[in-house]
Amino acid sequence: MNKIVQRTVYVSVLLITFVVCTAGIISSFVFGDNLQKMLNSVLNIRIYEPYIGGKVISTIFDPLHDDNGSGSAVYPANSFYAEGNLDLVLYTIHEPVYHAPWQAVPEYWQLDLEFRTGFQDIHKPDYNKTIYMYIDADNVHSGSVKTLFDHGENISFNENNPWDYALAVTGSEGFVYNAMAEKIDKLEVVYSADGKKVIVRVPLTKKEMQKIYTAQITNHYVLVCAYSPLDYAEVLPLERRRSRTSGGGLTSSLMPKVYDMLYDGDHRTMLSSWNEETMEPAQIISTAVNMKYTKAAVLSVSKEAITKLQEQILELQKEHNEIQQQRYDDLKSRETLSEEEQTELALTALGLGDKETAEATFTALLKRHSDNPTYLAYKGSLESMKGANASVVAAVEAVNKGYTYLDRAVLLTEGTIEKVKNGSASEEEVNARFNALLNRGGNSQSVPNSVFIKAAQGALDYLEAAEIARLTNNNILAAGCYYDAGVCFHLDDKNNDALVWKREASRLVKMTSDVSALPLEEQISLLTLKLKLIQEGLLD
Amino acid sequence: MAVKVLLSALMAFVIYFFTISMHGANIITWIYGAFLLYLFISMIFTGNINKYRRIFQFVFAVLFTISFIGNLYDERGSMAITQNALFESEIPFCHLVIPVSIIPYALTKTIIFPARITGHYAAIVSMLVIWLTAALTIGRGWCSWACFYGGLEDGFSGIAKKQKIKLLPKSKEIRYFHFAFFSFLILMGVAFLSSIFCEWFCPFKLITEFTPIVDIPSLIATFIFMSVFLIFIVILPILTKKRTQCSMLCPFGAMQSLLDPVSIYRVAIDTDKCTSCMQCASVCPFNAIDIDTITQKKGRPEITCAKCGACIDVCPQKAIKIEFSFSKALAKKCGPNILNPDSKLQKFFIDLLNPKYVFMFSAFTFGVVISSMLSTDGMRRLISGLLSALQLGGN
Repeated sequence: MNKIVQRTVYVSVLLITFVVCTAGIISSFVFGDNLQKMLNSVLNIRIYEPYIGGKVISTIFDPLHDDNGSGSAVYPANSFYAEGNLDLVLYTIHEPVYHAPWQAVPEYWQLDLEFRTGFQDIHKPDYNKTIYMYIDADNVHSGSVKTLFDHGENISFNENNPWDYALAVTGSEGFVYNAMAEKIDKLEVVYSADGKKVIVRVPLTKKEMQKIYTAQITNHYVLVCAYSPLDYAEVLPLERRRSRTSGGGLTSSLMPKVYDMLYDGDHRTMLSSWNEETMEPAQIISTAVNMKYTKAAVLSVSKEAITKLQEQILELQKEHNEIQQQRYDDLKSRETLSEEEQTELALTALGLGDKETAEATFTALLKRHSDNPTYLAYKGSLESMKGANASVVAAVEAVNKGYTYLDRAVLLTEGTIEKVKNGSASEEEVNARFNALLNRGGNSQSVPNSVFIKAAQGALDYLEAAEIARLTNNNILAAGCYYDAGVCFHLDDKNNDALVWKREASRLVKMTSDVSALPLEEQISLLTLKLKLIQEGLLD
Repeated sequence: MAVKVLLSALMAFVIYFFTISMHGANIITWIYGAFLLYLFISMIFTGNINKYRRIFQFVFAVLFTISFIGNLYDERGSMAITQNALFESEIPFCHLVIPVSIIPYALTKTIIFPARITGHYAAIVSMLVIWLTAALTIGRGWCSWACFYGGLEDGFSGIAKKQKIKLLPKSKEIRYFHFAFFSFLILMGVAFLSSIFCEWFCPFKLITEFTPIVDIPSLIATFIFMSVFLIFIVILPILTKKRTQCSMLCPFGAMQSLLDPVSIYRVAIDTDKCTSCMQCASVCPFNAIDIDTITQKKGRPEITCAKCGACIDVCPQKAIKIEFSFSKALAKKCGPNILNPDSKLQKFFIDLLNPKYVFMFSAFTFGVVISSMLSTDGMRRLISGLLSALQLGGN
């Protein structure tokens, strides 16, 4: 090698080293999110199952907003209950575990129950549920078809699947009983920090319980009631009118004291099947679970159908863009614009990708109304968007600046959902809250979670927006928000939550039949959502 | 001089970005940022690596402890591991678990620790990314520059003026013990599919989170971790002026030592200049230089060197330096003194690519990034705690 080549090689190697050790290290932290995704796609990391309840053998979804028992049950009128507290949304069954490390009981069987909402204050948990899980472990006609305690839930069980074990979770503790109502053991009952999930571990150390290890199929009846330590079976009674000491909506003395039960469908018919003449309580059927892990069938949709849907969306978008462009040109050509027209111009400009006009207009509007939540929300989003093509430092500053506007917008519209519930919210207030929540949620979904840690907040924003949309009968918007909440939960590594809400989005989409009757913008939203759900195997 | 200014400016940018910009510009982030920059500038201009590194790591460890415990009290109301944190895989994943997790992962494709997988700074995959980056660049330098526990031993080892117990004659045995203990932890981890170090030995449970005492095994585990903390983190560092836990027990330290050959930097001893005064061996906190290292003219510290810079600072002959691990091979290929120090530009490059400066920059960058969030939070908690104490005192 001559001297020049040697020198070039020498300097190049050292320079590369210098770059790796300076820019390389910095980049590994800045782009840590992408590196993590890449690494995890290679390693596909999971936690050793016995730490976390054992391998999941089945997840059963229960529809949301079906926590009204046989159709008329309403929650008690006391502050221990928040809406959705008794709404079971997901039931997860794990494989029985033995020799689990780090656990107080190393032989156990874990069942998880997830509810729509959790504690109102995580520092003062409300253990307000009584949950009865009746399990037929041998699939033969031995066991009981009556409830564990008399005057309890007011139901009976399918004679083909009498139960062998009853797991009674009352408040924050629980016990397992046999079919003769004899106590076998204490359950480990653990609530997640937010109170949405109840983890029940059944100790399998006693011989009487070890049938679970060899069971091929188990049949589950899961009943969710309101908790009362002073009443029969620790179940709060129902009366005609709700009060602090009882739920409401009683239509018959035979009406089950159950708010929700595990059933992947409408359980109201089943829970209303009591017979006044024979005085027989409502009979319910169980959900069968194969105790060996089997891969769930994935919904398959033809590629043609997907292409067709994509084309349909493109066509509608084209049409929508043309209308928007016309309106934009029209507004732009005018010399003076009212405030509403200026807002419309800004939103149209944003929709057409003219961020400069949008920002200039929102900035001008904010000068006049510095506390307008809608203007703040869009200004925040626009500020945050500047980070997309900026240097890393500028991007972080842009996002942080964006959040100051977005957080303010959300803060200014606090309390809207309560107004919607009591019917006192104006349309303007509802829209302002939507704008604030959806803009902040959208940003939280877009920015890297490992840097800004916003995904969890984004999910909550979308869920609140969905709730308002549902209360105002806007099912399409609610479905979109549920889906986006699912995306945020996924970013936050809460995959079960993600699936629950995406499934709810799918359910709402299925309910919408006549797409062509909808306004153009809603048609696009609905079809786009449909496409995403189909691509994820959540809709056929 | 120009290179020192350039690197200081670059470090100012790194500090601004990771400490101030990412965690919000406020008085606390500015103070912490200024403190970090002061340390780096002092380090690079005086060439005194170990002194400023120790200040950094000690401050980081104290603020980390305050922040971690504060956060636990905010979330759980105590330092005890709760059932739901355990059941829901919400135990923060720390780097000490990595070594004992590798073989079980290879066997079961699962991690034997109930932590989050992604989506959090203390999640498994984020810690693995940080570890891989550190392993390829600063190697075991992690222990001296970025480990959030190491500073405690650095702090305690600075209390006494003189070594009350001299470990130098036993350096080799200490290294053997460290690797034997490491092998034991690995074997136990595979046998029980459980992180035995965390379960029984981790001394840092005392300043992070621990299993509540509910039965005899948890009582024994508590007794062990408290004893290990007192003996290896407090008493022995005071008496020996060494980082005894790091050089005897820490599984991550042992693993990083074994992986260190793949890292970019290493410490080299110029055997021609060395006068065997043994000052380096005496001050090495990791027992990486012993009598044999010097007498047998090995030319580099033993495998457990954590690149803390103590030996470099203390060597009267300036015979110890940091170099790139490929320096010799490169010099062999391209010839020694390939660059002309008379040319201004080439001299600038020689200075800029000086492994000592580049190492200081990379290692300190790790320290800045890893410490920023927790240290600023720790400062905030410390200041608000002091203010409320003053208010109470005033009343």
